[in-house]
Amino acid sequence: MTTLHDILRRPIITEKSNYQAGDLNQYVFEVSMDANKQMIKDAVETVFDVDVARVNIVNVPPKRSRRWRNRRIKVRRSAYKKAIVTLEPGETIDVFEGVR
Amino acid sequence: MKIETEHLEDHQVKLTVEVDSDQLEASKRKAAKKIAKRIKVPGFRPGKAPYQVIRRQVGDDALFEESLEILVQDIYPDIIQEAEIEPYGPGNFENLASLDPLTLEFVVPLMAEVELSEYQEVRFPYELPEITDEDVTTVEDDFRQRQAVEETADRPVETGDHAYFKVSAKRYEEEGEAEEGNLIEERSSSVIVANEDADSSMEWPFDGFSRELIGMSTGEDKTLLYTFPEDSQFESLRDVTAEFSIEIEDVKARILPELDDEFAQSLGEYEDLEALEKDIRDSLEQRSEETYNSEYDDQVIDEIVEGSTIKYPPQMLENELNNVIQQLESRLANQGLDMDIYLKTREIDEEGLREETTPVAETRVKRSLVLLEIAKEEDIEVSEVELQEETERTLQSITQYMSEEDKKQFNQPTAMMNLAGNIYAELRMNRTLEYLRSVAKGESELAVEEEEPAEETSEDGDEEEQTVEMEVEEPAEAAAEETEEKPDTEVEIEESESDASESGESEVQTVEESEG
Repeated sequence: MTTLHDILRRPIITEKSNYQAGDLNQYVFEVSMDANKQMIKDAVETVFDVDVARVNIVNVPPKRSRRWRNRRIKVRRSAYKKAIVTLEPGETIDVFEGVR
Repeated sequence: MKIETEHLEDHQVKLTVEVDSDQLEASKRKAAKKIAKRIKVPGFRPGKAPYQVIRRQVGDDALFEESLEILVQDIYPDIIQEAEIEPYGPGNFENLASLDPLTLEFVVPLMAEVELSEYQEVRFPYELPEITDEDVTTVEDDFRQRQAVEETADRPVETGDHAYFKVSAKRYEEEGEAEEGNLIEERSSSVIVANEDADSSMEWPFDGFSRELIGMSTGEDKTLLYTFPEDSQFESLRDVTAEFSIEIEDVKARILPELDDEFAQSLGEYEDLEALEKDIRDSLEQRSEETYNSEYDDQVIDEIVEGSTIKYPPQMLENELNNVIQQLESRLANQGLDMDIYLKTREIDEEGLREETTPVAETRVKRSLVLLEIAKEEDIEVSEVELQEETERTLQSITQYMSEEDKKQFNQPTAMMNLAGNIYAELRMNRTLEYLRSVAKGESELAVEEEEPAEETSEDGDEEEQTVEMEVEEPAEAAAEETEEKPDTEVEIEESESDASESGESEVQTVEESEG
C-alpha cells in the first residue's frame, strides 16, 4: 500500500524542468511506478497545498550505457515514471523549500 | 549606502560602509552566475543553472564569499566618489565589521597633501664661485705636462724631471736577518719628481718617494729606510719598515711647451692662446655653475620642505623606497655586482637595507611632492612641442649606440610613452627648479606680484635655453601658431616666444595678443 507521501519521489530539477516551472507553471516529479494521474493530483494538492489543473505522465524507459572509459562495465539506469504537473494559473510550488 | 569616514594618522582614511541589502543581493546573483560557469550541476548545461540551484549546490557561505569580492569591486568607485576623497592608490579591504546590515571597512591611502610654506619668501644669497686666472692656469699646466717632450739630461735629478730607476725592497730587521722578507723584487720603474708641496700620495712605492731621488745622478745608488704609516692603504704594509735599494738608470728632463698660440693650436681647433683660455674658462664656469646650482637648489628646496606641511600615505614612501633600491640595484648591475653579493658584503639583509634607505626615500618623496606642488601652484608646464623635441633628442642620443634590434624594441609605443613621460616630468622639475632659483635669488619679485608666474621662468631663460631648449627659433613660431587654438598652453608658449624675442616687453605683448 503506497501512502500519499510515497507517491512523489523527488522533484526533477533540470534546465528543462526549470523552464517549465518558470514559464509554463508545470512542475516535474519522479513518481512511484504504480501511481496514476489521479493519485498524483491528490498527492500534489495535499502536500503542496495547491490546485492542480492537469497531470501528464511519462514512463521513462531504462537505459544502458557503458561506463566512461571502460567498455566492459555496463551501467544501467532503471526506468521511472515522470509526472508533469500543471498548476492552476497563479499558483506556485517552491521546489527548493521541500515538503511543507 | 552609508559611509563614515575617519582620518587615520598616517594620512589614510578609514571608510566604514554600510551596504544596502539589494546591492548585496545583486552581487550575489552576479556571483552565482560566475560560479555557474565553474561548477557542474547535473541537469544543466555549464553556466545555465539558475541562482536558486547554485545556491543549493555551493551553499550560502561560498556564495557570500564570492559575492563579497564582486560587491567590493563594484561599489568601490562609488564609495570613493561619495566619500569625496582623492585616493593615492588602491584601497585595502580591511575587514567585515558586521553581517547584518553588511558593513565593510576600507583603508584608503590619500593623495599627498602639501601645504607649502612661503616659498616665495625663501631667499638665499646666490654666489657663483668665480673662476680665477689661477684655475685656468692650473688646467693649462696640466695640458702642458701632458704635452711635455722628454730629453735625456746629464745632471742630477731635479724637480720636474722624469727619473727612471731600478728599485728593490725588503723587510728591514734590526739583526739583519732580512733574507725572507722581500717586499719588492728588483724592477725598473719611473717617476716624475713632484713639487715639494704637490700631492704625492699616488706615488709608488710610497708617498713622497720621488723627493728622495733629488740630487742623484745616473748610475748612482742609494739605500733608504721607510716606515709605512699606520693608515697606509696597503693593509699588509702598515707599520712595516722596509729597506729600499734604488739605482738611478736615467734622468730625463721634461721640456714643457711654451704657453703660446702654437701650443693652443696643437691641442685642437683653437685659433690662438686666447681662444684656448676662453674655452677652458667657459667649461670651468659651466661646470662650477652646474655644481653650484644643484647645491643651491638643494638648499632652497630643503628650506621649503622644512617649512611645509607634507602629508603622504605610507604607500608613497614604500614606492619611493622601491625606486631607490631598484636604482641601487641597477647601479650595482653596472658594476657587475648583484644585490645578494652587495648585501653580503655590507653584512645586512634586505630588511636592514630598506630601513637604511628609508630616510633617503623620505626626503626624496618630500622634495618631489613640494616641487610638484609648486609646479602646480605656478602653472609651470611643458608644451607638447618642446616635449616632442626633447624626446626626439634623447631618443637619438640613446639609440646612437644601440643595435638594430634594440632600436626596434625601443621604438615601440609603450617604451616611447614611458620615455616621454619621464622627460616631461624631468623638464617640468627642471623648470620648477629654475623658477625657485630665480625666486630665491630675489630676481623675480616683480613678476610674482603680477600674477604672471610664467614670466619668471622666462626671465631666467638664459640658463633655460642651455639646459632645456637648444633650438628655440622654429618651435617658437610653431608654438605661437598654436596659441590661438589652445589658450591653455599660453604659459609654455610665452616662454619659448620670449626666448626667441629676448625682450621682456614683447613677451607681454604676445600674451595679450593671444589672450585676445
